Amino acid sequence: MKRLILSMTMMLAAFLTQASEQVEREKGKQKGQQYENVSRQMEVSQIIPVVLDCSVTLKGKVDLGPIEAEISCTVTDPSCEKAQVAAAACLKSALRLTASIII
Amino acid sequence: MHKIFLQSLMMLFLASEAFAQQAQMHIYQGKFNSSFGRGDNTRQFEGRLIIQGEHSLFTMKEEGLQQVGLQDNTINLRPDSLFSVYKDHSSQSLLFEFSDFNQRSHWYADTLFPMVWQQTGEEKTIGGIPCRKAVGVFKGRGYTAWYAPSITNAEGPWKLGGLPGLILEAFDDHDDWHLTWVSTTELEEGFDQGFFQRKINHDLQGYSGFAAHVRKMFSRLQASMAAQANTNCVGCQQAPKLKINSWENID
Repeated sequence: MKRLILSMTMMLAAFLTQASEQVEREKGKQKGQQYENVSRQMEVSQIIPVVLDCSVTLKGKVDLGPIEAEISCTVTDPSCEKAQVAAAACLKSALRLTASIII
Repeated sequence: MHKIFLQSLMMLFLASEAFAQQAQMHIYQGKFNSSFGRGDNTRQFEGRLIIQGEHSLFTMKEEGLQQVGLQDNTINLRPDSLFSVYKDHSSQSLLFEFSDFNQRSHWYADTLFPMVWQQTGEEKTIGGIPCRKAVGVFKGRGYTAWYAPSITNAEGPWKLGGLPGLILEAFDDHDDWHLTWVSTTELEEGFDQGFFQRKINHDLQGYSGFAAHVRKMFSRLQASMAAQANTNCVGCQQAPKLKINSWENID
C-alpha cells in the first residue's frame, strides 16, 4: 500500500513538472510574438515620416495667346504647411519678377 | 424656293466678287483655347479675313473685354489681335505677327500654304454654301478645313489655305481652335498693303528666326528667375521652372 501511494505521488509530481514546463514554453512563445510585434511597429514608425513628406507644386502662366509660358514652383517638406507657404512665396516672387520685366 | 434663290444669289455674288479684285471682308466666329492640350481656357473670337485682289489680311479678336495684367496667377499679355497673317499670292509671301512680352509687334515670314491637304470626299453646306472637306497637318497639328469650291479663292483663316476654294470652316484635331464663316461684306476701302510690302522688301526673318526669338525671350526670363531665387534664398530647394507651350511647333 505504501509503495502504491509513493508511486502515485511520484507520477503526480512528474506530471506537474511537465505541465509547468509547458506553461513556461507557452509564455516564452507569447513573449516572442510580443517582441516581434514591437519590432514591426518600430519599422513602420521609421517609414512613416518619409511617406508623409509633402510635395507642393503651384503654377502660374504668362499668356501671350498662341504662346503660353507655364511657371511652376515645387517645394518638398515634411510639413505640408511649410511646403505650401514656400511654394506660394516662390510663385509670387516669380510672377512679380516677370511682371516687373514686362510691364 | 425663295431661300434657294437667295442662297444662289449669294454664292454668285461671292464668286463674282472674288474675281472682281475688290476688297471683301469675310467674318468668322469661333473659339480658341490658349491652354491647348493642358486645360481649358477657351474664349470666343471673331476672325476677319480681308481679301483684296492677290493680297489678304487675317486678324482674330477676342469678343468682350479682356484685362491686361496679373490675375489668378496668370499674366495676361494677349495682344488685341491673335493669329494675324498677311498673304501676298503674287510674290508667294506670308507674314505673321508675334507680340512679345512688352507687347511690341514683330513680323516674320513663313511659307505660303506648305500644308498638303487630303480630300476626304465628304460634303456639307455652311450658310447654304456647299463645302468639301479636306484634312492636313501643319507645324505638328492636324487640321480639318471645309472649303467652298464655288468661291474660287485659295484663301482661308490664319495661315491655312491652298485649297481650290475659300475655307469657310477650319479647326484643329482637338478642337482648341475653331472658326466658322458667318458672313461676307464688301469694303469700300481695304487695308494698307504698303505697310506689309515694305516689310517684305526688308528681308524679314523666317520661321526659324521667330522660333529663336521666342526661345531666347523665355530663356532670359528663366535666367532672371534663377538669379532671383539664388539671391533671395541661398540653399533653396529650386528655382521656378518655365515651360513654353506654343500653338505652332517651335522645336
